Amino acid sequence: MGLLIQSCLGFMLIWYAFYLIGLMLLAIPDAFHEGTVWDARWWENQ
Amino acid sequence: MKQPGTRHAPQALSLLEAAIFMLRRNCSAALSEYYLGSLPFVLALLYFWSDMSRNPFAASYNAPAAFGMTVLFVWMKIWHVRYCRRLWHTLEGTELGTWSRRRFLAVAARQTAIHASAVLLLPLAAILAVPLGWAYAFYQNICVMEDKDTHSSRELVRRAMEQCMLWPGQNHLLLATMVLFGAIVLLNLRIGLLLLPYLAKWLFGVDTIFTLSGAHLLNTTYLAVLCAVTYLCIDPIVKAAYVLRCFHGAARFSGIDIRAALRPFMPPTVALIILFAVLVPSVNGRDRPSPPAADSLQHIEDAFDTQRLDRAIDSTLKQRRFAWKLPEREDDVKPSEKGWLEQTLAWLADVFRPVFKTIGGWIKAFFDWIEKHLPNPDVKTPDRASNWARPIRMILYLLTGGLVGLLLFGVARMWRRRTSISKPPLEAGLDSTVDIDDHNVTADELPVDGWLSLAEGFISDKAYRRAIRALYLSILAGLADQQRLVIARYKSNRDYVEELDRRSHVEPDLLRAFRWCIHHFERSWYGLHPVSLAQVDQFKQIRRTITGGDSFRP
Repeated sequence: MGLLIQSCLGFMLIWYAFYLIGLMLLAIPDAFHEGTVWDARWWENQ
Repeated sequence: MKQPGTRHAPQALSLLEAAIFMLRRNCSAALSEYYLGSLPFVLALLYFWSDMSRNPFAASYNAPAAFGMTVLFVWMKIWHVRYCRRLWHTLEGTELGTWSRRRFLAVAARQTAIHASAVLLLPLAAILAVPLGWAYAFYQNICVMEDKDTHSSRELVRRAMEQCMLWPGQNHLLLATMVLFGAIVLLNLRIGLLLLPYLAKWLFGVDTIFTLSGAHLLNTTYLAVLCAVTYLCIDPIVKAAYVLRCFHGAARFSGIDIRAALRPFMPPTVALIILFAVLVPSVNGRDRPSPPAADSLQHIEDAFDTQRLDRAIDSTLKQRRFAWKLPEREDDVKPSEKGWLEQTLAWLADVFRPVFKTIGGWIKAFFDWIEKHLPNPDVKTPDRASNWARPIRMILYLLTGGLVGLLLFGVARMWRRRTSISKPPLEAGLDSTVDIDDHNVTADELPVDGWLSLAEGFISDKAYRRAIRALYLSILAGLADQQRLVIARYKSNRDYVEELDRRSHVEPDLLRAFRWCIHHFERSWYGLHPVSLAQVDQFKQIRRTITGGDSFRP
């Protein structure tokens, strides 16, 4: 029983970690994902 | 203070080398199990990454997607354990059996419970930097130490912790090497992925988004793919290295390495008896091991080829490096009845017998090879006229003989040429191949002694003009030997004077003597002035002044 509880808790923790990774990826702007954030014209736009 | 057991720690690089060797030896079975677990997870992770990066609706199914990733993560860890256990059994020399469903579930439960903590502890250890090596080793050991005798998570954690605390220097060097190796693999993959689209365009004319712009080099999915493929390349090696590390660590107390080394040579029961006999005195030094039972000894004798072993021991002890350590026996000291010549010949025969045997083996193998490729003359054909096998054999034998003769002739000729090149200088000087009348002759074609011998020959023939030239060339050769001149075909006598002036300007006598020699040589050789024996003797004297360093008195 102890092992079952441990594994369930572990599973939920890993699940939550992946969920957070998903949220992090969603929060990052598209420009960063596409790599255009490093475009040289960024300075001009500022 | 030195940690106990450090002396027996295998070197990190040796460990990595052994890990790669082990993987190459058990490549198919172990790696297929590894990738059966890792590939689904890595592909799903890349899909998850890409989807969450670009899909505007991805937030709505983030939780179920994360659930799927967790399931695949657990699946991967089960197969990592299986992979590590297979390598462990290879080291033990045993077979990894199939796992029951119960074992699969138990492994999944324990690995999930323990690896969940890695989500928190590994990033924390990475931030603190110092404990990262121990933390990483601990989670690798969790996969390695999960054997069939593991009954609880606590026991597994304790064993993994014991192994991760062992030999920290080796562990950190191992990790540093693998990080460096990983960086090189990453760089290679990066270059490969960069060039691949251009290769496709060059070969097939296919334009892709990668060839149209270079922006993909910075997008996160591209970097994630690079990291994922690098992980798939190096993680099997890392795990194999940790399997070896844990195996050596566990062997310090259990003796599994000795058992594995003995396994091919004897039945398991005998191996256990020997292992017991070895280990008992180390546990309790006062207890003497009881002699093994007679039937056990019989087993051992059956297992070894005793005669072969005796022969091997005898031949080893006869080697010179061991023989001097052996005590002298009376039989050896007693003078032999054989004479000295007979003894010497017998000794020579003993020494050269293996050489002759080897050469004989080669000759026999060569003739066997010829026999194999020649037609068989014993084949009876109905028509005797059509039995062409024997003439062909004779022709081939003749051809082989001719070939061997040609080879020997070539070797003899080459040998003769080499000996003629390495003749001593004086003998070479008498060589009549140098034509003194030839204007293209240079001083470096003969050594000084050679020119002097040639000059003496001309003097005895009363060819004084030629003798003067030979003496002049001997002067040039002598100055070249003293590093005062460099002989070259294109240089004139004036060039030699200028060169000597540059290099020996502190020796005015030498320069004056050399100028005198050139003047008299040119008068006699090019000016057709008659030359007497007295002039030749004077020239010889000046030559001695130049090469011997005497003061110049013309």
